[in-house]
Amino acid sequence: MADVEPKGETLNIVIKDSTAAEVQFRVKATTKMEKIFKAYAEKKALNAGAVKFLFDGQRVQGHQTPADLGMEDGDSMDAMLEQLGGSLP
Amino acid sequence: MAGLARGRLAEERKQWRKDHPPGFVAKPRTKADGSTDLMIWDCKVPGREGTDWEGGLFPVTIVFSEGYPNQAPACYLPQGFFHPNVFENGQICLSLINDDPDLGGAWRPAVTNKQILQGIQELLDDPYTRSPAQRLATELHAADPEAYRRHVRAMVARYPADREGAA
Repeated sequence: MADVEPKGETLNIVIKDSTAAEVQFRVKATTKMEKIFKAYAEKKALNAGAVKFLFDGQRVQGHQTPADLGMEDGDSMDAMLEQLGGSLP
Repeated sequence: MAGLARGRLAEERKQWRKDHPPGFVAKPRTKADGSTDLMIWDCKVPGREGTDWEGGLFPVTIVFSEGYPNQAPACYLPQGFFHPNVFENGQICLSLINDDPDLGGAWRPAVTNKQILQGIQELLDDPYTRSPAQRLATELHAADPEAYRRHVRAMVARYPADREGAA
């Protein structure tokens, strides 16, 4: 991965939860997603471990950046509560 | 005319990236050489909460023809999927994506991929059994609700939402 940071290149990323409520973040293409996750969890008063984030159906890892994921300005991600497996009654 | 279909699909994709219903996935297929095939989309439709389909995330493939958007795309669940309106080969029988008015088709060129996928989500729990595409699911739906439900839950177990992201 190249470590040349594109100067001042930022993009807006929207995170939506299952009720379609959205939070918008303005980030650098090189910002690690874990920073965004943390900010989102704080805003929503959630435990960071309780939420998973999907981009195009793929789980996003904290070490990835918008550039790694090929994100574009205005792209949206899904925030889903982690489900615990259970059995049928 | 090929340009029309691709132009529209590129715009559909653009809109989807900005805004899509929670939990749904829809993206054009990536070919072996890394390029994008706008004419085939790999999608995921979540089972609606509060129904027997809840907890499932069902793979749907949408195949567009050069005649799109005048012609409706063909939509497929996996082969052998249990549902009254899904044919043996997985093709979904739904008026929204049927462009033959003589056969009850209600396709309009303005219908978006978002509407198609939401229509499929709705169809899952609300089958149209007067126009069945497969016998087993249709018969159980009418005669044995408990067995029908077991089959539905088996589909959810085969395509669980929480496996998502593990891939």
